Amino acid sequence: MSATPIAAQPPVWRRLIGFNMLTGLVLGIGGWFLGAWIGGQMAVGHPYLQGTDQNDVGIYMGYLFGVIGFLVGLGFANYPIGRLLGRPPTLRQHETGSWTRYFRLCTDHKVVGIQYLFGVGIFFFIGGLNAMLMRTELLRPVEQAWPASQYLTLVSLHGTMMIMMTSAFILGPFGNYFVPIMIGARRMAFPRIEALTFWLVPAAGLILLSAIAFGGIATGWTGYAPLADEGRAGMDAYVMSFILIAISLTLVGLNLMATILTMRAPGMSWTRLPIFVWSVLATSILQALAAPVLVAAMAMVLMDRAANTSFFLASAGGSQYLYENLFWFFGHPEVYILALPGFGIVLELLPVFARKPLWGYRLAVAGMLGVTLLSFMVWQHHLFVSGMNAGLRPFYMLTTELISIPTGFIFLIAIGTLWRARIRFTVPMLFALAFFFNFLIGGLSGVFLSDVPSDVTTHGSYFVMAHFHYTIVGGLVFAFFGAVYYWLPKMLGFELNETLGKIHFWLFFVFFNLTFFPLFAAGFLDMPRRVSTYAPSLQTLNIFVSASAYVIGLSMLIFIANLVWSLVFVRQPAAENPWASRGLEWQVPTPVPVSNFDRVPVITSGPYEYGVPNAPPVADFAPGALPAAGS
Amino acid sequence: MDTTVSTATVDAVEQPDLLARIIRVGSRIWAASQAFFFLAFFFAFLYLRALNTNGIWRGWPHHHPSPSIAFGVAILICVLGSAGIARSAVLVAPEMWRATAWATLVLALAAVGLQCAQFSSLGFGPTDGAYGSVFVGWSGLFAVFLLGTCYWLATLIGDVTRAGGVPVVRAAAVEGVGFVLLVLAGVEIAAFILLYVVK
Repeated sequence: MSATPIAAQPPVWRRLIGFNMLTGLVLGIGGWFLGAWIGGQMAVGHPYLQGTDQNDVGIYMGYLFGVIGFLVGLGFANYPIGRLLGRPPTLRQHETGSWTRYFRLCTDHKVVGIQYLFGVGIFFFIGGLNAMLMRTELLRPVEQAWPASQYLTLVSLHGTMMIMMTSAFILGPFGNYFVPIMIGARRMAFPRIEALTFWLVPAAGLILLSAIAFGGIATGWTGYAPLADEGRAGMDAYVMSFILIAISLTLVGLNLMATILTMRAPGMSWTRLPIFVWSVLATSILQALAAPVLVAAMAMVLMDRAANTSFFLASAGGSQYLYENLFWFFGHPEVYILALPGFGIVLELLPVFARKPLWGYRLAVAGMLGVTLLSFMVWQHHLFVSGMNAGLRPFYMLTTELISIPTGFIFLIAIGTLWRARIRFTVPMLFALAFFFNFLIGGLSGVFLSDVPSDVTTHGSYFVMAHFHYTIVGGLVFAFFGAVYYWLPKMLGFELNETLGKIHFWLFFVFFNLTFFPLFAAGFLDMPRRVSTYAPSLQTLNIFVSASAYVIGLSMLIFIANLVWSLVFVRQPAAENPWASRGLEWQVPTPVPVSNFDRVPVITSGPYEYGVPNAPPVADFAPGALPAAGS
Repeated sequence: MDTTVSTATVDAVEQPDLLARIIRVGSRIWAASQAFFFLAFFFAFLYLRALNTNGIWRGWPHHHPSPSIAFGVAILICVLGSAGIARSAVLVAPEMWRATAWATLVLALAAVGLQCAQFSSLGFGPTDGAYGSVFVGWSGLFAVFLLGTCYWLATLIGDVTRAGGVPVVRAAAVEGVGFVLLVLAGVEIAAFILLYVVK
């Protein structure tokens, strides 16, 4: 790899002027006011746009112009305008330079991965803070800190932010950073779109937070109509932020799918593809196909609120069930958008720390593709108690229970891989093992909810809440932290403190279970979701849960302390391959060069041949000639 | 953090065949995403029409929305024409691409223009029952997607005019935009049948 020192940089104040995040924020705020003014003018005298007591058109136009201004300030308009003016196409932009590239449009997939890691992480912690506030309110069975409407806004912000951010939790940081390297590519298929997908995320997060200033969100994260049509202007923030996130998800899926399908290095056959990449491919299919339906559903809510259409208003010929169908047509694949990358990560980690080949590789792939296919056929189990046609219930019960079969494959593969292995209990491995414990409970409780008779008795209770936290937090978030501890040395070039990592893990694992397992009982005892008051007899249980939740918060602070301590103060450089992994990403230098590889490597064997006598190296990094990629 | 950078970052090292393949695959995935987007409106039409909540699917008594069939046919012809020309461009010689791309762009823009003209003299609005909502939502957002494709066409015309790019990449772009327009044409056919014929 030919390398040159970075050219002398201009002073910081000079770098603040130009296309970057600061300019984006300034233009975004200016755009908001301009859009709100234009929207206000549009609504004047137009009968279709002034049917409510608030100017939704002005708010939507404000958000739209704000987002456009933000993106223009970041430099996203330069390339499209340049193309129209006849400038030749380019693929790369701002890929070299100092730390400032993390605060601007950059087309290096590794920079985008790190932007995602910190960007999504910030909103994840804001969502977690909301959870702490909710648990504080629930310390007593009566209203105390917040009135019911504000509590509901807290619940909605927590749920929406967590779902939006966790959707990008794995594919954002790790998919973008590692998939090109793991398949032997030198970049993503659409680098500029990749950068756009990230910058839509902070825009969406900020817009969602602005709901607090506009009367809050009364619907919870699902945004059910007709309440969504009738809610205060905070719902506009909910709708706009979900549209932006869904566009981002669609484009992430498109980009990653195109990358995996077209840019694999020679020799990277489908059976040599790392299992994490398979999981990303499966997730990308879901994102590219399901997220557009969410955009459409949210566009309908937007039109109902701003243009007085009646998609979801029964009084004007619409139906709220239309919203439920459209939302869950996205919403249930969304569950697997969250789960599949987690499967991929833990299956990626197991062979490394068990020092054995991945048992049942093809079964794992079949399981993930099976989940992908079936996830489009189960959405109506969310409507079992919504008045759906009773004749449809058995079909959706069957398809939902069927999906546990390919999911079960993942557990079989884990058992087969761990069987008689000499396991290294590193921090990433601990998180991977905890994933299986948690997800097993989440999965088994899901069977109760897929079954009509038991779902009818538990729907809307804390049982459902405990179930999906076991799958999303117990599954995805544990997998996320496993990935953080595993891949951060490659991404940032520094090691995290192992002892602090283990303290983080044990506190998180133990108190996660102490928080959410009792909530199954709360659900069976009829404690309803989204309500801040409950039966006094459940107070002791809730105090216990809240106390446990605070310890989860403490464990997150320990993680942040570890991050700051290791990256800012200790700065112990990481070894090139600290886990002795065969993964292609560990065979490249740290820090990873801008183009990943001098030449496209030729893959010579699979990534999981641990303990296989005379296993060839995973790739030839200096093939004689530059071969065609993707063949 | 990184202290060195590679010098091998220029576009010249990217292989045209790979870029062409990326464009072809990307255009198909994008077309599939668009199809799923309009699937929501397709479902909304069938679902709300079947439910006919409060008997006002077609609007209020004595005021049934009825869009101009002439506009509908004209828009359909423009969209089908632009898709047909764009798809046929892959069959003609590269020197003809500029003319075909211009024809495609003009027809697509005409469809958008006609949609705007229809909205200005529609005779009903989004508040006129569920049908009015679906009509306005589906037609309006279709025009937005078509306009986005027009941008792609405009850049393509720029590339063909300059002829400074790589032929194989241009060919892939011509084929890709044609495929996306073909899927949009399928959506428009469904929209015409449901919104103008079935109602």
